[in-house]
Amino acid sequence: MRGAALELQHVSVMGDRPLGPIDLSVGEGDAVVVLGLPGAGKTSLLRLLCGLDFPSAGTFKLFGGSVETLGYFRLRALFDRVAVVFDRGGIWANRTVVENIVLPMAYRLNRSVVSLVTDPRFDMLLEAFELRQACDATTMSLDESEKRRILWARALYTNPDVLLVDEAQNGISRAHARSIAQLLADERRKRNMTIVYTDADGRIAPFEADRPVVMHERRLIPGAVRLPEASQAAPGTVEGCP
Amino acid sequence: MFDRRDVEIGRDGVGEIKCILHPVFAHHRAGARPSKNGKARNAGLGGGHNRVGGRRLETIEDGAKAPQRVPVGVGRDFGERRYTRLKLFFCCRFALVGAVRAGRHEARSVLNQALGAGAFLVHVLAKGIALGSDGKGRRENRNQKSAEDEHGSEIPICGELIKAVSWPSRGDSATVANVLAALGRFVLRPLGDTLAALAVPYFALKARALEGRRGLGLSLRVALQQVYFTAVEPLPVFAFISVVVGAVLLLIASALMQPQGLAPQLPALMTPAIVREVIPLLLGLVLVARTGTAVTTEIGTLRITHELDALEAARMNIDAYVVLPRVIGLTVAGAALMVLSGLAALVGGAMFASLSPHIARVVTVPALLAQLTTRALVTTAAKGATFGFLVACIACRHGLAVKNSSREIAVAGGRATLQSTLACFVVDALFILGDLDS
Repeated sequence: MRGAALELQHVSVMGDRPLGPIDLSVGEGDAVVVLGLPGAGKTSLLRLLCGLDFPSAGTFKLFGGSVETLGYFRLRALFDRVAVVFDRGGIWANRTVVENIVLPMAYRLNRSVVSLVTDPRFDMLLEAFELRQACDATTMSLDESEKRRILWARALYTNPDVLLVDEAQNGISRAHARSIAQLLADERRKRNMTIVYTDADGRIAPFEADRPVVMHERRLIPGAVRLPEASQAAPGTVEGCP
Repeated sequence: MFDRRDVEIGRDGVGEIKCILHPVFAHHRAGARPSKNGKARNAGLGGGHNRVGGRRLETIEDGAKAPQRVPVGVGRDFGERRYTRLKLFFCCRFALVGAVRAGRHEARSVLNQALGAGAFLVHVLAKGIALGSDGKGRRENRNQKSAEDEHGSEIPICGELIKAVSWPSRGDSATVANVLAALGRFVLRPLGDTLAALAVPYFALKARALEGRRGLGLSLRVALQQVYFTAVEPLPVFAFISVVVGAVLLLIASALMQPQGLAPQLPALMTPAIVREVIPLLLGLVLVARTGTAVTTEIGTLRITHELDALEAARMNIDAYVVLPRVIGLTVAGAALMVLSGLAALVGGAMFASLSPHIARVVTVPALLAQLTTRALVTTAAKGATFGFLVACIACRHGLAVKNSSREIAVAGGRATLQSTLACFVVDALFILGDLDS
């Protein structure tokens, strides 16, 4: 029986990016798309799920462990299994493409960047994301699409059990979307990877999700399956919402 | 006197005070003075009555019906005590909130709030002492204008300035209390900030201990890069500055002492002065301007470009990977830089100065080096290390305080530079006092 990889019970976040309260459960191996208009709180939800923001109230369980009560080491071990692809930023400037991809693993394993370059998985990711030509260049000279692919490669290089992707369709061409979909399908088949990605409308996502959830005004709308056209939507209404 | 807006005219034509002013300041403007039994003596209002807009204002002395009508029935002492109690309450509240947050691993906020509470307490004490010593003049009858005139004469230049910056300033004139309070704030705020910066290495070391071997190699690499950036890359410029300063000091000292017949004392005087005092302080300031600003700007930029978020999301500890290497790098680089620059100032300065015909003959490189003791070099290294350590802590603190606007980087850089400079002067003074004691 599959357990829940991510479980939020009445979780709310205070501060600059308030959120919730939110109830959400994502099983291991599930792929969930979070739909919402800009400003609905999708990125804030991902920040919460990847441990950048801390819940102010409620219970957040990651692979069964309650984030609020765990100590430093167990919390770190749990969040090591989570990787995130940011929409904006996240690229370490003045570093090469190789360093940008390998650095988190080099940090975890306390190894040099050079020693990880010979890893076959690294080779596979360079091929999949077409970054081999640029791997020795610094990220200052790259375009947005290449930077986005670096973020994908970095996230996947850490062998995550949960992959969080912010605005999955951004900066990805159709060709790259197909290759990413193939890669993610392999990962899910091999390692039962859980995927949560956000999307403005869910129409041009690089891969199919098992189920959608809808965010509106920084909350999850229970039962909602899709957003209406932004231009026709009355404030505060979501299609499918009871 | 009360303003019109302070007073609401009752239906029967009797004035009712609305108590707009804070009790502490109400008596300043009213000139009222309470008696010990709590009743307002109201000495400045002409036998317990006042007229506002031609109408009679009734006060507490007017009989039994007055107490319901005069909510300002607080004397100065009562108001001051209540005000102080309120402040103490908020201090305690800050401390309690801080303690709760400590349980949630937000010890940075705790320290800041504890410092804020400490500053608050000192503010309250200063204000209380000042009011206590300033009470005599307040008993005299006088209206607001004359009181302001008097204050203006007491503090002719900075009265308005202090009035503008002091807290609380609404409706209050530039009293001695406010001057003290403002001075206290001016002193305590940077002091509190500097002390808060000293929490940075604690959290960095704690993070390193928690991380163990995780990322140790990468952190060491960052520390070495910091040493290179701080001490190796600008070494030619630092050496040039040191040589010029050393030569100028030797020439000036020679010109002053030679006519007095004190030339033989020149090496014994100038060697410790240059190596131990002048060069460390001068280059400490250069360190603040160059490296401190660079570190603040770099970390602030990492924040607003979400690079720090990316590090955190990848479970790379910022304190262990970003902060600690910089603190260690700057500390080591500061020590090395000061010793090398001190030697460069001594040797290069003597050689450079010897080209001048005005230099005393006794000022030679061997004579100067003969006066160089191990203790002087150790003191120089210790000063450099302390400067580097403080500059790194303050720079990292202000860099990490940047939230999401590029304008904040400039503000943080300015604050870090100012505080680092202050810290360097204070530390230098402490070193000098330590030397004098020993």
